[in-house]
Amino acid sequence: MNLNFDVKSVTSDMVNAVKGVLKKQWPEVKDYADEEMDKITRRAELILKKYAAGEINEDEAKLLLQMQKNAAAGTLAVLEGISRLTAEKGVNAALGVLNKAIKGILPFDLIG
Amino acid sequence: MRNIQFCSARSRGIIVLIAFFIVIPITTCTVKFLSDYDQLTDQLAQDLYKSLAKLEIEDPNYEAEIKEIGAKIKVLKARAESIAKNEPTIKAVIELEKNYKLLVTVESEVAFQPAIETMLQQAKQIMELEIKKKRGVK
Repeated sequence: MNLNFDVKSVTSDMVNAVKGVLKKQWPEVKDYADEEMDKITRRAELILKKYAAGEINEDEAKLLLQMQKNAAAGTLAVLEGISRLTAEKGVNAALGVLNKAIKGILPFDLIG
Repeated sequence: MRNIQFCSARSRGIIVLIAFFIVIPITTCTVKFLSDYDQLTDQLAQDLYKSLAKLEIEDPNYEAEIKEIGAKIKVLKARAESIAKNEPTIKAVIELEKNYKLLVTVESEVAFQPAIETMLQQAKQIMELEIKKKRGVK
């Protein structure tokens, strides 16, 4: 199983995806989005490694990513002028980018 | 003519009263972003953080401890919801609660640690929000 994906480049593309959704609030959101997208890609990297090593199963892999997604949405949603729904839209857009990048690495869809 | 002038003066008086009792308080409330610092929210979030930090899946009391954490999240949510202009904290607690519901389904130690780390980040975020309020950030 080839576990490699370009973490830096994917993180940058994910941040741009969030920017696409949160254009108006971007100056306030940028720093938080950078940090949260970095956490998500690092978590995805860890999940891939642990799944490949047989340490976690499919359900646990999905659950760990879902938890990181919730945490990221929570962080963005506490910023002024951003609703939970908008924050989730932003994070979902970023996860779409991640999904594309890791497609084929796992035998299942990590982002359900 | 005199009557008209009298009415105008009275109207002006009424407008001033409206400004004092309705317009000014509304404006003040809408400009304010965060509620005031709440010591109880701060304590509850700190307590939750400590409980999460010491939680271990192999602990014989794991079931009881995880239930206690669930109860603490409920109390924190109720407290956050009882305070006006507290949307940021409420949103953060709701996302934390979502992750608690996922945490109770974790069965392996390997998945447990990253799950707890995520929840610790979230509890810390709630504590940081209260610190911001204490510093007077609005």
